[in-house]
Amino acid sequence: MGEAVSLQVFDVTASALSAERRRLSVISQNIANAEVSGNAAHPPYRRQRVLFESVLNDAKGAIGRGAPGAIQARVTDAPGDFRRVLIKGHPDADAEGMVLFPNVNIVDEMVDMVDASRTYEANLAALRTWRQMLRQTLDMAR
Amino acid sequence: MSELDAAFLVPVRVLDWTAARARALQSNLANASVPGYRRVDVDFATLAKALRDEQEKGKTGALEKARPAIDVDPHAIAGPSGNTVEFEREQVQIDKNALLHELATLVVNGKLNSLRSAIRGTAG
Amino acid sequence: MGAMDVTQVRSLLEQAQQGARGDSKALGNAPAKEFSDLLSQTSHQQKAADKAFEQYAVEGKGELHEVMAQIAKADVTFRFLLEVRNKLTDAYQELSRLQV
Repeated sequence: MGEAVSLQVFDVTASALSAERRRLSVISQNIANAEVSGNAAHPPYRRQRVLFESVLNDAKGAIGRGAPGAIQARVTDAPGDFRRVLIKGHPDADAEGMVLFPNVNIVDEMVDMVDASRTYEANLAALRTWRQMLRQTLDMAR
Repeated sequence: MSELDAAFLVPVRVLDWTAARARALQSNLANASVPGYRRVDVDFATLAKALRDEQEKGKTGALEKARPAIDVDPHAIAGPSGNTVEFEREQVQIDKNALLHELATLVVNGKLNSLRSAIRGTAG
Repeated sequence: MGAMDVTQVRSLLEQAQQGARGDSKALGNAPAKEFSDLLSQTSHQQKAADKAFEQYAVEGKGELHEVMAQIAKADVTFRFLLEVRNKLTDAYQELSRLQV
């Protein structure tokens, strides 16, 4: 395991912070591309989503018996049909006048963004608490 | 165990438990969105038992030998993704645990300062 | 302060001062008894504080403010003991010098 468990906590939280940052960045990208049209020949942007998973490699930071610690974010395509909107005369319109748009729901993305921010802040606050606990322990020797 | 060690034993053991618990809770918070993750925790009942064994049942050394264990929480209920972490609850536990850690540190510091004062002869 | 109140302490310190001024009869066994009372009281208070912490931290019994009050009392009692000890030591040293 190498490093002291007390210090591995920093790695675990750092991985969570990175993962949430990644998630926020993907959400921004989804929002930015949400209204860019496409058609059958040139499909529109496909929504990206982030999946969180444990890093099972002990070296990345395990905090106890049977307890994986660090996590990582994996970006994948979100399944689902593109939105079909009737806009006759649109450059991307097909024979019936249907235009394809990304499978992005702005409201869902906003909710996700709030969640990701909250999770980020919570992990950061917890890390500060942990640091404070370590400092208190150090101060005992002074 | 020297008399010096004995005076500090209980608060120092408490610190071992709160430190282990903080690590467990921190990991829970980091893994709150990982599907299938099961929350872990440290049970203070083992410390309570060691204390009782030492004080009431006269098993000397029980308190010194006891160790905190980070184990999967068997009572936690899984959400839709199989994750058993309740985000807000974890945060509250982190704060409660930090408070207990601070109290135990305070007790140890108090004893240290008393010793230093007694040696120096000055109160403070 | 409990058993050892302010008037008793004052008499203890006065005896120490009288002893220092040469009234050696005043500095008899009286301070020793009162001082040992203070010692045992300090020890009891410390044990009470330790117990209160134990109950709160390990068993989850009691309230935080109760624990803090016990710790504060133990601290004050100890500091007081230290002051009295120092005053008695000073008085004794003064007395030793005079009797040479």
